[in-house]
Amino acid sequence: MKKAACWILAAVQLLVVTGCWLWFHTHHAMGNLLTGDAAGKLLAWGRLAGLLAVLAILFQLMLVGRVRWVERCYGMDRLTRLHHVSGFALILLLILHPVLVTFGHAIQADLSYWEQMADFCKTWRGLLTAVIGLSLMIGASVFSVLVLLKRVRYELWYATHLVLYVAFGLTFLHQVVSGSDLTDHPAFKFYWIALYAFVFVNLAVYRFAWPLLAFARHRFVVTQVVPETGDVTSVYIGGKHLEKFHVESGQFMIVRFLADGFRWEAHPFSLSCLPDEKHLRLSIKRLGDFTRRIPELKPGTPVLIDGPHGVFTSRTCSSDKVLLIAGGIGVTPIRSLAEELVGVGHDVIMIYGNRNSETIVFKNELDELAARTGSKFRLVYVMSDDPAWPGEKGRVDRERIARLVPDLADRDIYLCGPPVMMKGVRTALAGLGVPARRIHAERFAL
Amino acid sequence: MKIQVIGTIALVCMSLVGVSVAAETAGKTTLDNLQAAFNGESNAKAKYDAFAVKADEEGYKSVAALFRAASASEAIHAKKHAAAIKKLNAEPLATVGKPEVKSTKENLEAALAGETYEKETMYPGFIAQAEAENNKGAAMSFKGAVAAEAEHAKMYKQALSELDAWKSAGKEFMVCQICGYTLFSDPTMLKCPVCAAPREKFTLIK
Repeated sequence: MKKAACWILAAVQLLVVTGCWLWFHTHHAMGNLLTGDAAGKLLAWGRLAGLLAVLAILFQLMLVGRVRWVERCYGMDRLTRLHHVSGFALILLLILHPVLVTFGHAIQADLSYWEQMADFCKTWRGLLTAVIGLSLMIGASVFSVLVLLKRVRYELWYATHLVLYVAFGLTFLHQVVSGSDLTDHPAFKFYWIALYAFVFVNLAVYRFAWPLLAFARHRFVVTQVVPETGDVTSVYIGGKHLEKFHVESGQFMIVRFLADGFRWEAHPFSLSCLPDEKHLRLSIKRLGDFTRRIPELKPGTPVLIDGPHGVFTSRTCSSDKVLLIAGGIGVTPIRSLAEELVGVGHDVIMIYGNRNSETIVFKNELDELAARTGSKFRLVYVMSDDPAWPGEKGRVDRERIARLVPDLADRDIYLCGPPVMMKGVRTALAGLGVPARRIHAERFAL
Repeated sequence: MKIQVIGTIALVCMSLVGVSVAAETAGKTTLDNLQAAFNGESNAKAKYDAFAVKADEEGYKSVAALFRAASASEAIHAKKHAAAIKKLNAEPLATVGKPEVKSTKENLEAALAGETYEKETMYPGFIAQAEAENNKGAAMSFKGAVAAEAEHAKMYKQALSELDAWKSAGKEFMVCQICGYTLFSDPTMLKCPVCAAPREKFTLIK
């Protein structure tokens, strides 16, 4: 229901904008521009591209603005994927708008394309900054795609996105002064400004104010830094009134450690144990420059927490029988979910894939949980590259799932692990006839 | 009997008018119409320039400014029509005669009649013909002119109704250099309502 409401809200904006555009251009002082001469048509379609580009940018900001009421419906990983996919359409619109509009005005003024472009920059108010902003946006968007495809460093990706904010700001004057004839209409101008206000208030509240308020209230601080395996470290975070910090097993938080060498970066980490009133625990694998320095964190370091986020929680579970499948460090949310689900009496099977026994994180904790809860929690480790392992060896594949979980059809499945492993398990589950609605998955790489 | 005669004469006159209008447009192509419009706008420009001089002589400073603005606007329409003519591989041709200049009041009346004819009779026919020939460029050139002529007519009407008030200088006009649209100077205007050109593309005429 809430998901449908979100889509309807987005669709209404699309209808309002295209409807106003259509009305304006079919009731223009020069007649119906859509059936007029080439200049009129180019201007009309170019303006639509511009309007849709701004709408797409605002939509993109809502997708990744950590807006809680949106994020609660879809989960941040899905929103982030949608953000990536719709980014391609945005790039196309960003290119189409200036090309079509410049050709349109060039024909009207009897100038060449480049003469018209020079005239825009020289004479048209707000156009020079818009051209700079648009160039930055196109450049940064294309670069973002490259970053996505080649998995360039997180820091670089982050810097690119900061440029996008500046670039978008540079185009605003153009929008309200000369960008669209639609802004001449008082009702549409009001709507346009209200749309901006809506998006930016959401961003200000959820992206900036919320974490600061949470910090002011709870004074999060690192209390302990504990090595788990060779490359995984658990960070315990304490604070005031943690009983009032509502977080669920399986959720993650975007964390910024306020210490030298850490403060300029914020990264998402899952809770790795059932939250209690004394501490939160994040377990972090050494994967890059930032995570390599985690063992150096000192107790007493203040922590800014944005979250909790994610819909990878027991709330979406529709059965009292559950299969948990974890791969590598993907065990962090699964570990906290296992504890919670077993605690409320669910029948839980957990398959935990690793390369070898040395890389198993939380082995003692999981074994202890299995021993404590008896038949309610069945734990199976699977090693892909450990000939000496006495248990299951190989991949978490279709044959293995079918053999280990004979009542698969009765279970909800929670899946978290590296992308390749998740893809393989999803295919295996589909092959075993598990409907998609029963598979709850979280890609922990955003 | 008298009424019957008058009725018959009226009927004959109306038929004659109809025949003459039909004869005027029959067989005319959009190229002919563009040439006619180019000729008309070129003559209008010359006429308004002369009217402006006369208005200045008679001390109607604001009326003179209006004529100068309308003249600048007609020059842009003429240029647009010329471009459309060239697209049809023809040369724009105009015979600019010596304008008949009378008193400023009479000049305003003549200008109003001219603009009214253009916006209500001449250009609508030209637009219909251009659309029938699917010459969208010419149609838009005519439509652009109509939008400005309508404004000129309104301004002439206003000047006629408050002629004494237009004696003093003070009225200022803005003419879009892209499409010729004309309006009273308006500090809040950001762009042309016809072609969307920015304020910077307008010329201020005092």
